[in-house]
Amino acid sequence: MAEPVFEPLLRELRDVVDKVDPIPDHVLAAAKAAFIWHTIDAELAELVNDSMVAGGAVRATDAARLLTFEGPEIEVEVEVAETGTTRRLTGQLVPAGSARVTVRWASGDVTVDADEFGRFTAVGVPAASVRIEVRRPADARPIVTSWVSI
Amino acid sequence: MLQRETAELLAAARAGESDAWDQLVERYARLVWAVARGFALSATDAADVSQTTWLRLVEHLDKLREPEHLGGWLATTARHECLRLVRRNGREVIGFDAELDFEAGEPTPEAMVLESERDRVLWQSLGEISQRCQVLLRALATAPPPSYQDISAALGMPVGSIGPTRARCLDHLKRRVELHTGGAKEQETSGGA
Repeated sequence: MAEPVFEPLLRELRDVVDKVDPIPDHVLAAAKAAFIWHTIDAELAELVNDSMVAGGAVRATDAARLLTFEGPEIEVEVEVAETGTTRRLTGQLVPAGSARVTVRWASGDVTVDADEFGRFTAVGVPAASVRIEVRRPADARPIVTSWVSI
Repeated sequence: MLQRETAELLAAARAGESDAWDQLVERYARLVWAVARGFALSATDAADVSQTTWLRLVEHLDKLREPEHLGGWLATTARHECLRLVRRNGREVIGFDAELDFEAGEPTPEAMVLESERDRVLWQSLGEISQRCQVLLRALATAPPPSYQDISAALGMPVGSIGPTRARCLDHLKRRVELHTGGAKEQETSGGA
């Protein structure tokens, strides 16, 4: 565990960074507030693919971003399109079927219906950390996706 | 000692104790912030990375194995989120090791809060070394000091290479500082080449 001496230059650097670029209070507060999501009783569908990462050379101006979330009994595919300052989420549930779909972010949410083919569209979603909640008629618990910054 | 404490805090947070969660945030939030800013993300993007990272921890709280690696887990998650945003913004990621080598004599607006010339030079020099070195040095300079395991996760580098990289990055920083402060002297000695 012995680590090298804390060089004077590093100490100086810490002081400078503390002055110029400390962690903003609102960022610290938001991190603490994230804990309220802990109590949610739901199945998690994890992010398994992100065209932004997998594609390598994808640029902001290229085709829409594709996200794939996978849960125990569901797959949620979402296309994220930039519409000015907000985002439009077009999704597909697999297996197909109707459901209530809620897109949540820290300060709000929007709920839409997925049709019998499992398709849904949510507009006016802010560029923020969001998660998608899916409630299907036959499920005991809702399904929630991983949080993702869009 | 610290590791055990982290494990205890994690267990308490799992049980729903929000005080324990707050303490975990206090302990690691600066590391997460340092990683995001080290990748030269804007304050808004860095706030996004921080938020996504902590939300991911909430969602994995009940499944997280090896609580002693929490710092590393957070640093890795933050790094992945940074790379996502860097790509989204259409910036290059391959230049991770390139010296940025900005024109000398262009202090950033943030540096105006710094009263001493030495501090301003140090801040400016930090922005001129490679991205990898910026992430490393900013992470190292956070309080409480992260472990080498945490740093290795932040950079996606083996633990064994952190020591040498740290020395190299500090050396680069030192040389940039000297370039700014000793420019006049250097010109004299190099004799107008």
